[in-house]
Amino acid sequence: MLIYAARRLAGAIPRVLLISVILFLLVNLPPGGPADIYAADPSASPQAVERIRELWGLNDPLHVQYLRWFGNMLQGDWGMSYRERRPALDVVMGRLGNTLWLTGGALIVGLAFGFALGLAGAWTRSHLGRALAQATAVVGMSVPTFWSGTLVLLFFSVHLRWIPAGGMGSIGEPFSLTDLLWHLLAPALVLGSVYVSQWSRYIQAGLTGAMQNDYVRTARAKGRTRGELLMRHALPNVAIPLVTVLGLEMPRLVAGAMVTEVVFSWPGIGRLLTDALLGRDYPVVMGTLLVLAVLVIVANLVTDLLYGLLDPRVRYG
Amino acid sequence: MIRRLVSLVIASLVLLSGVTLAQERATVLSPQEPRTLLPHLDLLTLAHEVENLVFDCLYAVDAEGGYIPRLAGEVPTLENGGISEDGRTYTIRLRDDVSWQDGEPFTSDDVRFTWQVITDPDLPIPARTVWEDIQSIETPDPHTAVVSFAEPNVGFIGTAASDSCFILPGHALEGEDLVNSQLNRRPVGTGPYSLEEWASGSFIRLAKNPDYWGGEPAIDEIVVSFPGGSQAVRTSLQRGEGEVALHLTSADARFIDRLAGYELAQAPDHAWWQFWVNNQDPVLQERDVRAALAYALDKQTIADTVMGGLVQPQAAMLPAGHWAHNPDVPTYEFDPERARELLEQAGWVDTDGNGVRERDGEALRLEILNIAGEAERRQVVQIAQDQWRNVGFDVSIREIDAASFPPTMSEGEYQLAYGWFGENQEPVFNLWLGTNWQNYANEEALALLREVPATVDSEARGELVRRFQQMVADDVAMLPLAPRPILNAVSERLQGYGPTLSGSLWNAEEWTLR
Amino acid sequence: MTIRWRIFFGNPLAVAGLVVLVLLALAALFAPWLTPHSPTATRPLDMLQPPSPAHPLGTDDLGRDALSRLLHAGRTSLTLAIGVAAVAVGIGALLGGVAGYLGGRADGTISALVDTMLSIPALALAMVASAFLELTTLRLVLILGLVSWPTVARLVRAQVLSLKERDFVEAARATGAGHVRLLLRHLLPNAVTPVIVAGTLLVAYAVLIESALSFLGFGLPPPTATWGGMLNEAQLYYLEAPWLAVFPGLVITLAVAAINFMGDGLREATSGRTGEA
Repeated sequence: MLIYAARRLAGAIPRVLLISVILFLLVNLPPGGPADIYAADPSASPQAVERIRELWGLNDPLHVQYLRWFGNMLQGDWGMSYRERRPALDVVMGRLGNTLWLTGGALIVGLAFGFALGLAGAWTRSHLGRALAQATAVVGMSVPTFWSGTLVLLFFSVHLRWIPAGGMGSIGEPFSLTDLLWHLLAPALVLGSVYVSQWSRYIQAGLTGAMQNDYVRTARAKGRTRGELLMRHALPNVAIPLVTVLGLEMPRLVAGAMVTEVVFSWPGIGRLLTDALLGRDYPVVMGTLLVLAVLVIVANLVTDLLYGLLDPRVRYG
Repeated sequence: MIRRLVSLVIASLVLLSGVTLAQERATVLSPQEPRTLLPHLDLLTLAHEVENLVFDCLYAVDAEGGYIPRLAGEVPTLENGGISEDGRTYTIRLRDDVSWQDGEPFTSDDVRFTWQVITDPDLPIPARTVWEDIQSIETPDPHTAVVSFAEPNVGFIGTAASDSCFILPGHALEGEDLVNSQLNRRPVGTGPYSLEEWASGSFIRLAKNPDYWGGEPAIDEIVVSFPGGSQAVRTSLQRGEGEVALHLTSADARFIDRLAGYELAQAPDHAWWQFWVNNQDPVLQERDVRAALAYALDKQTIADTVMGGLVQPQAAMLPAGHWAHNPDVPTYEFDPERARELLEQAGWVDTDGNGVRERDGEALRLEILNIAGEAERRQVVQIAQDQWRNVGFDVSIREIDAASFPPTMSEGEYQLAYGWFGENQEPVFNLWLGTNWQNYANEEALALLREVPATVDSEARGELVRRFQQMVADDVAMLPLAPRPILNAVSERLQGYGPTLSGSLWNAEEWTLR
Repeated sequence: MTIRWRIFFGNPLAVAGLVVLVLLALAALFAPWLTPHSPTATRPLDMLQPPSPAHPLGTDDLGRDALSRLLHAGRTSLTLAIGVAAVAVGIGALLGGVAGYLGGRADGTISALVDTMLSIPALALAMVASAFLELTTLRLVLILGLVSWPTVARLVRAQVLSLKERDFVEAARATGAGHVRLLLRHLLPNAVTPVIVAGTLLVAYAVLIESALSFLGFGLPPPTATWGGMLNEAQLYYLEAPWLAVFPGLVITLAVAAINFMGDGLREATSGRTGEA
């Protein structure tokens, strides 16, 4: 198992390298660059801008800049945020936890309701019921979260005043877990709802498939009820395909979180990236993208390992 | 005995809970988060607003537009000997009862240090006007600073009461790398509030400074909250959260009018919206074409609708509220027919009937440069596009980010650009003598401006500035649109709120909650 | 593999999707004739009016007719999405085909690239590119296409891998067909059906990602209307003019759901269920 994990981990390293190259080029190739922020100052002389370029090594060849940047990244020196004037690593890490709360919340919402709906769908024998479940699933994944989120805010926060208007906590109040969860409720529901429909579909399909297995038939012959068959025998079989789907869906979940953060003023890395891009905060942009990528790669790794745990046919070695 | 003890315990509990209940808090909603709270490093006006809570200036501007002393004990004048007869030397007597929030005393060295920072060529300081003209600052004793200019300069007090006025703690910053200093996020000032906590992306919490030289502030705590953009600020106001909301858009003004519990507070400001015109552009170098643009733009409707009816169209370079404003310049009232005539006369005719004029086979094309992301800018630019299309221009819009806007302008890579500009109480004309993004080359007019700083007599100075405005308007060297007021919403609960030219939060120590 | 249209047309949801999509496309196509108002003519005095007979969906913050903007936005959004799908399918089919056909080092490189691209959220990549470049419709199509091709590449690669050993390919190879000919004439055409399915679903995905991009403020510059751009503009007024936010969102949902239903229908109508897309 350990060797398997280590091998998986090693396999992720070239990916991280390639990502860093792509990101570096993406940010550094377009015209205009970090020094332009200071050129923005009407009283900055061309010489002063040139001095800053020189100081930051922006006149070096691209590959020299890349190697220096990547070397520094590895040593934990992500540069200073131009906007916040503190290490970009601190800036990004300070927001990462908030995004994890949101994606975690959405994941729980998605899975809980997904299982509920999936089970209901598999349990019902009505053809119409199943078609309806499938239709809801497709419509559910077609609703843009930034739209549904806005409507939720408008209705439940502004009109009914049931939920807070956004953010991670009540203004100025000391941190408390209940307050955080209270603020997490709406964004997690909105983000999770996209996946409810999709995951319930997988769960339902998995369950229906499993119900046709021989051993389930045997169990049925022994007189087990349909509910028992579903819960005891079919459900464990859903885990493997579901884990695969979760792994594949990670980038989209993270992208969804980025948009949801903007709607609900959730101070996570999605909002950070938006602000950093608008403010041309290059070190933070690079840091955020790299963290996003690593987040997905780690999620994929976990998926792989879970897969190994769940499916005895995957051999480690 | 036991009973006594119990009552004592109860009494102290009541007292304790009373203390915590009495913690008064005012919440300030801001559409943007400051990037740093170390003054002078950032042009963002919202950062200046928050810096006002932590830092102080030598002077401030009161509600009537007059100067009042802050860290300085009095406002220097010719009469009290604070300004020398030749207008080159200012002798500043500082208060002797001021200390920094870390307990160190405030002295004249801090004033000199601030000047050295602002003029340090190695620091990315966006605005150095007037400060850079100072020749020396002498500190004969801890509470006296003598500021000398090489040439007479009337701008010093105005600058020392403007956005670039905050005095820095020399003892804490001396020898520090300012750009990366920890004080960017944990500033130490002399102001009424000191920073307690900065939760990036959420809020900044400030506690009152009990030793404030201006008296202990009444409100215990101020939280500056960043709900995430204008629409989120609105949502918070709709829910009654927040005592002050900073820098609303004109669209918000209509909304506040209908919102119970809040009223609109306009902070005076000498800023205005305008279209920069590149006077050296092949198409726009003709005065008739520029005049046609002016006639074809319906400023009144824009002011009445998009700008919420809060402002009147502006014709002169300086807005009507400014003491040196010239009310008599030509206004170019909305007259699309006149615009068409001017273009016809200049030889721009629509020969092929496609709605766009041509001359010598060249179509009358214009591009408006705009900063992306702000609703009101987008609205104005699209209305202008539509109205200029109506008289035969082919107009497109190019949107860029705020950081790229100034370099694009300074390189002259634009035809028309929409944005705002602000002047000081004592105008310094950076727009013309500094950036001159409009490439204005009327030497006679610019010569007038060069005389301004040395003209100590304010009557004569005002006359120079008014003549300059006349020439700019005659030349149509720019297209002013309307003043740009700073709009804040203030809750009925908050008493003593009084924004002035010195800022929206400058007098927080005088606020009380009802 | 072929599409069995009988199955497709027997699926009520797929047919409904097709009908809705055709209606949306027709509405976009004939937008100038369906509404008397120009989508760009500003009438500031009529701003933010609620729905009325003259303006069935109200007016926006410049007094422009919201219905007419919605229909014209459909032109941009749908064309753009189809363009994105075409670019993504083009790149994906080519790279996936080459990887599957050649195998070995080429496969290793391309697969690594695909895996890498899939580990960064496409939206984040598109945001960066849009923020740093001046956007035009063509550039946006290219950007979104360049971030969406990996799924197609994966699919085609799998398809080609399974086809490669089939008899007809062996036969073609025996007659001396070259690599290019084999790939273009024999392998890719046989992978067309799953690619069509994936391409259809990509159109839905492109509509969503373009609107998300516009919503975040990284979309096309004004006055071009897109559905996402309209939502972005409506954000500021959602307290006083909620109708401006409701309709573009509804249309996005409708269009995306319709395309997804169609895609699902197509998938069922192809003999093998493809799990990947």
